[in-house]
Amino acid sequence: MVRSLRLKETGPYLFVAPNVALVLAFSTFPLLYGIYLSVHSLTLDATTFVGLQNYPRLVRDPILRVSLTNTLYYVLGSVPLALALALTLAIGLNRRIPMRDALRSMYLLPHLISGVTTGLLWQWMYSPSLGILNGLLSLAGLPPSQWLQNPRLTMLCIILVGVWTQAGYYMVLYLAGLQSIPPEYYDAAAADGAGNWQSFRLITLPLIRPITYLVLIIATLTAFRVFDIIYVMTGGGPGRASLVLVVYMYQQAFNAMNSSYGATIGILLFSIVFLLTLAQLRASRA
Amino acid sequence: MSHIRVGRREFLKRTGAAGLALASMDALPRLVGSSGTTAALAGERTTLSLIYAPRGDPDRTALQEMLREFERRNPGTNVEVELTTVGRLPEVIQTRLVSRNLPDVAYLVGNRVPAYNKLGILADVSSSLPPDIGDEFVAYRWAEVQFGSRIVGVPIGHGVRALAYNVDYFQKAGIEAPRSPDQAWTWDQFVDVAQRLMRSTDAKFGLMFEDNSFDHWAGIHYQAGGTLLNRDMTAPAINSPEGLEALEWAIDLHRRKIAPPGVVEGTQNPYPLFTSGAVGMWMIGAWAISALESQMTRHRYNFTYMPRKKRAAVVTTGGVWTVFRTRQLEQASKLLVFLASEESITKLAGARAQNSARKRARGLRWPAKSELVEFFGRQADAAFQPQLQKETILPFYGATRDALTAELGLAISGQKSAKQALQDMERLIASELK
Repeated sequence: MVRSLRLKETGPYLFVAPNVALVLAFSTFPLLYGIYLSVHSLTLDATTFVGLQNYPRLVRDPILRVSLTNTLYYVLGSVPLALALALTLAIGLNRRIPMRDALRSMYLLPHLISGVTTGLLWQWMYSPSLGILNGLLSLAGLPPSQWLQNPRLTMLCIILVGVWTQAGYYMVLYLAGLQSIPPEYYDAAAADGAGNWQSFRLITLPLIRPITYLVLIIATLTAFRVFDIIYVMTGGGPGRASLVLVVYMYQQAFNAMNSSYGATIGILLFSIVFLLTLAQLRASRA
Repeated sequence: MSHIRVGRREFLKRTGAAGLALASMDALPRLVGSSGTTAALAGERTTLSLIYAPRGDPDRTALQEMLREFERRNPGTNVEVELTTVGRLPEVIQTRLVSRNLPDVAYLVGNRVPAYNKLGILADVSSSLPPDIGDEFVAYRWAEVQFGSRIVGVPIGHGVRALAYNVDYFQKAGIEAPRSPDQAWTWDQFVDVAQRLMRSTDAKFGLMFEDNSFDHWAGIHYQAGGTLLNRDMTAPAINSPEGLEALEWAIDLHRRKIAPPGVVEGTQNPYPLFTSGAVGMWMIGAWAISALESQMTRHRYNFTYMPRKKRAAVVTTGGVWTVFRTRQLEQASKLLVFLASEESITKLAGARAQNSARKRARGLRWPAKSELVEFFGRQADAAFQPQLQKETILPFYGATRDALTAELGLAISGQKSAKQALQDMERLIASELK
């Protein structure tokens, strides 16, 4: 009897403990180590405390400003577009249409492909000399475009790839939200003479608001952390036209061999994302 | 149903301890000395860790065979190999440094060695090597590993840049490639040939720069008469009329669509452009041969001498075996001595399609186009420029190369004027020289 009671008391801990331990090991510990790195200079023989000297450099660094601007451009460009596309797809594929399951899988597929593969695939498609996009333009009698090579188009092209990669996943989340709405609501609205648009505006949108907040948070976090597709497609170029924070952090930490400053950029990114997520959570509760 | 009370503090304590234990597992190998865990714990076997960046299957196989031979000659020692790519080497080494888990031996790109030496992470292996070993190597390769009396590694090969061309296109356009260094084309002749290729063959672009590499443009800059630093190497000299001429030449070739966009900026892969026949000539090194052999199936290719302006110049690059300051220095040095032998270097340099960094390399063979070994040797001799080579192995170069490449991309993609880009390059170099 005592044994059974003990098991009941400790059982929940045992179930949750592996996850908590993993979060501590692979999220909390690296974060704390990142903070530690940002205030230390490392050599093989010594770890020297350098205080906050890397942090004022963040303000003075002109390349960091460029990368921050590019990151915001990517976030503001990709998140609304991915959400709108995901919701449209989810609404379309929530109806009884032929090949619905196949279409759902097809739209989810880009999310399942690794970022490196996606980057290589799109780099080839965007190639001005050999790419399929310019091939199509040529068939239509239009002049070729320099997609990734034109600094004014580069981020736009990357945003489209980001949306292509993420929209399918957000569509699945939206589908779950849409399927949780009781059909009776729509029946009652139809009986009251409500049209499709009114049903969508007055029933669907309010009831999927929690999902929208969830998707918004996930999409914002993902967009701020974008790395692989950009690293593969452009490496941050041409020049610095697509240099985002994580790519710059990588360049500083590994190519310029300055782990300390790289970690400082990481802490900046963490702070931005953390504050934004808090704000979004607060807004969702309100 | 019984009510279970969940003590939050107790729960966090226990799971926190488990999490920290999990995180600290990473530190365990460091407590017992890099990869020598087996040796330290068992006291019998020594396990050395080695990082290598193969170019393809031939050199991967060659290294495996060499290490098997080393293990056979040194019973009780085995070598664990971690493979990566040349591009990812800095990331791997930096991660190992931050986690205090450096490998015992690693392959590094030569012009990064001074920067690692400056960090103090490389071991001085001079006492393990024969005193006059430096004389057996090509002088400018050896300069990458010797710092005063300290020797921090052994160079393997040297990758020489030259001009790859599409043989079918040359035949169709009736163009004959230069056969000796003194016949190498001037820039004007080179551009003429490129335009002829565009007119009379399927080439969309006549010529192509290497990739997003500053090393390549540094050679072009030197051809124009420019230098990165002044004569006593204390201040930048890149912002000069010669620098402007070299940069404007590159910009102009892209503006006139003689060179394809995106290659210098890193947004377009140059290999398919050349192998598909979209580009007629490509300034690239012998290291591309393995890839060209497998990918260039519709056309034939060959190499000729790099063009020149005021003088011939190319930056040669090569790999270096280095030993890190780990607890297994003695065993690691033994491995280095083995890897530094003429037999080992000839085998590995050959498998990487490079010329040997050793002056004597009997039986050097490449996986393909071995007949070009002598040609690349002549190209290296003809275009070797001591100051240029010295500049590219100074620590400032390794530290600023990526930023300089970005400036180059900004100028070629039209985001900055050539003058502005040169001013910014000058500022970057000056800041690093301080």
